[in-house]
Amino acid sequence: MRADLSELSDVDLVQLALGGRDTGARALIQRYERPVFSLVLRMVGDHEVAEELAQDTFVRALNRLDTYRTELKFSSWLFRIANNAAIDHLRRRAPETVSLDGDRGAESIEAAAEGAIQVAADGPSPLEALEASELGATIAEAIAQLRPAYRACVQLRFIEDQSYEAIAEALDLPIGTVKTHLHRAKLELQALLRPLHPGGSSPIAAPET
Amino acid sequence: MHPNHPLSDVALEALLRTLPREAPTMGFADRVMAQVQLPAAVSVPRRIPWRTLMGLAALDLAVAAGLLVWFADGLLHGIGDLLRGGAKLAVGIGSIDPGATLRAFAYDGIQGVGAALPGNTSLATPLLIGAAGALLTIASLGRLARSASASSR
Repeated sequence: MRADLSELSDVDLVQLALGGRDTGARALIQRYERPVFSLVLRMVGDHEVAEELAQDTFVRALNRLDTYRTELKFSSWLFRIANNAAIDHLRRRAPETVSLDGDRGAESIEAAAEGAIQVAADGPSPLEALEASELGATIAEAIAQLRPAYRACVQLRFIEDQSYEAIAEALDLPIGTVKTHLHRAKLELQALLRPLHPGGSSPIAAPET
Repeated sequence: MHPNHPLSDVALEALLRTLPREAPTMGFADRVMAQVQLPAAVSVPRRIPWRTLMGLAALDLAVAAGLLVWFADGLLHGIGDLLRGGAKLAVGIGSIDPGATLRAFAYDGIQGVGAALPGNTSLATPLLIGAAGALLTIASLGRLARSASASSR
């Protein structure tokens, strides 16, 4: 009788892979390819690069699976490798930070304004924008304006639904720092997404999840 | 112009939770696995210590030898008969009826060997056990060599 691999725990799959079983490694990839890819994509903002980094993450993790210690959640260990890969990539890459206020190197206000990102400022009204399918893209764009550490925290907390402890493990940060990052990230996102929410008398209806 | 108020925490979190997980392109797992070197599959000899293997081999060979002696008793008789038949043939070549001597030689030989192989499979048993013993010996020597080289590193 063959057990369904999807029912096995991460540690069981790790043991299978360590025993030289491809099926264990493949099941781990299948289980985490989306979370890992989403994390690095959120960090680097480029599908092609994210795919490479996600691939590197799994190759690195599976090739040194014997160094994994079960005191750490497997997902946290994997996210840590992915996050480090993304951070390394961002460090190697020429600085491309973009300010919502426009080009920080601009010499005049007009020049700066030319480079400013318009978050749903033109075109459809904010309410229409909310209803439109680009809402997700707008939020993603806002997240992309955050600093990398905040992006990782937001991704792991709200999209991957990880606990503060797991995020702290994954990003190798104290829990207090994770909470601070998340708090500041939310403040920044609220400011960035403010044009979507004029008036303020009625908060944007929380979408059904 | 309306003053813009920030989203509430709850609304913001709810919006963030609607973001989908992105998926890599097709064949992602295959591309990863092409670059992964998993540890070699654990084989039986790696798990059984060489001393155990050697003990099993010795026991196996002893059983094989005992069985061989047991079943080969008849075979030895047959070989003896063949030799005796050969002697008779040698003597008979100079006799009046060499054909009868040859027939007696063939008869003795066939009868002797046939008696030694009751059903043939009986003799195959100790031979198979002996072969297994030889394989176990080789495996245990291999394990011994590997553990020796590992401990010298």
